[in-house]
Amino acid sequence: MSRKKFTKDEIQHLADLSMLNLSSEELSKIPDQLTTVLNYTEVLSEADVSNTEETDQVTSLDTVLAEDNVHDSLSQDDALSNAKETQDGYFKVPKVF
Amino acid sequence: LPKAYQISQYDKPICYDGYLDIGETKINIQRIHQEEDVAKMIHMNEYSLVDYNKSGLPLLEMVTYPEIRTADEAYDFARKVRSTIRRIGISDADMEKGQMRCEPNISVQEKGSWEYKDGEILPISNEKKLNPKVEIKNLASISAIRKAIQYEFKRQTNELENGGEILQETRGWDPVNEVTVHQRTKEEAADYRYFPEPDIPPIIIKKGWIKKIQQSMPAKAEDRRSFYEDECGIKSKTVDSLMEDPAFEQRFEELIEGLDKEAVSTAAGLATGPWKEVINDSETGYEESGVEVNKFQKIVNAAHENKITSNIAKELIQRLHTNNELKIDELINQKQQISDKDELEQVVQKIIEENPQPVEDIKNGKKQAIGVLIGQVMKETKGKANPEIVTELINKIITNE
Repeated sequence: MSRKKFTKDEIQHLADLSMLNLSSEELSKIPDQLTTVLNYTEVLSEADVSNTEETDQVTSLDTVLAEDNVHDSLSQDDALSNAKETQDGYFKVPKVF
Repeated sequence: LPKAYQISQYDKPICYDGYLDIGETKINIQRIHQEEDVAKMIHMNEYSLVDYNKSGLPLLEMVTYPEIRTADEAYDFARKVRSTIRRIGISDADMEKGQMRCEPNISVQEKGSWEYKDGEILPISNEKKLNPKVEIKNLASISAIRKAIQYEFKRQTNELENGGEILQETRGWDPVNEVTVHQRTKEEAADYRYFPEPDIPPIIIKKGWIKKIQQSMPAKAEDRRSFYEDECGIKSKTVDSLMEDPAFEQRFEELIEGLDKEAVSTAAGLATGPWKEVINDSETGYEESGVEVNKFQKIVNAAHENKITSNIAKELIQRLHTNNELKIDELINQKQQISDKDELEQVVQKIIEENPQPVEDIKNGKKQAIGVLIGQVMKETKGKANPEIVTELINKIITNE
């Protein structure tokens, strides 16, 4: 069972969502690579799960709530101490929009 | 979010199929779900600034059905949401501080091209295509909601009338220039790539839990208002003042506990008048006020039964505010209103003789001059004279002269 191949358009769409700039060289290379990676995970579909109950958690716990307590947190100086660039107490990052 | 994904209840919301009344209009609420707040970003020309203070904190997102038709309706809705949130005490809901946010989705459709069915705006026929919606972010006040919607309505209408097309996008409100600017093109739901969060076990909300919360909720504002206005006969302006701050109103409710319904109006007048005045003028808030249930009710009852004048009641409330040792019983006895006509007539007679000018004025038709005489009688009786009887006596004596 093999997945259909990724197209360039699909890769471009994924790149846009991930805010990645791909070069045209990458754009021609990646569809094949990603198809290979995805096909590799197809090995999972060989497992027999017909008798396995569907779940999205493994602890069987429910309604685990934290106490609503107020406590001290990092100071602004500590929080910003590893930032490359800061301004007025903010992390300064490259333009987003 | 620095962990690069956001946890959301998505299609398993805490609340669904609710509504909120704004005046006569009912706005249906599709759902309220919990999700993680994200970092706050400020976009400069050359770079962006990030504030992670709220990143990862839980927030509640409320989604209405597409039933709000005007900017004014959206404005009223937001105000109602804010006052309700404040009333039940879950947040100050200050939009400037980001404690409450509003992201209106606006779409403009041609008249007769659509219908509202099962909670959805649908094209009336296959030939008709609906215009996409535009989401507005970055609204820092309730009045900005109205302005941004009005602007966006005009922008979209102009665009369409000039033969243009509306792009499904997210636009940011620029409060300085009062315009919306393009931020990003809206992603499709599939692009979000939702998947179950295995690290958070399910939350099961049992009926008992809901009941416990219901019992701890304050009465709905509409119910309280109708109690105050219809049952106690309090003027709506006074009720506004009473209900302006839910915490103050709650304190007031404690203060009137057990009081006769007829006296509640007097209590409301004293609380929103002299008491609020002294709260505003002094360093002492209502929380630390000397005005406590027992003494407050004594003053209210004395005023309600006309034992003391409203001026004396005002004085007692204000003195009690800063001094809860005040001996209210004694003071009420001392300052009992004088309603004895014979006793008052002597005083009135004296004041009239001593003040010929205002008497002359009244005789010449300047009726408001009576205030001077009443004031003098009050001064003479240390504020204890029943003002209605004094007025009656002054008029009687002057007319008979």
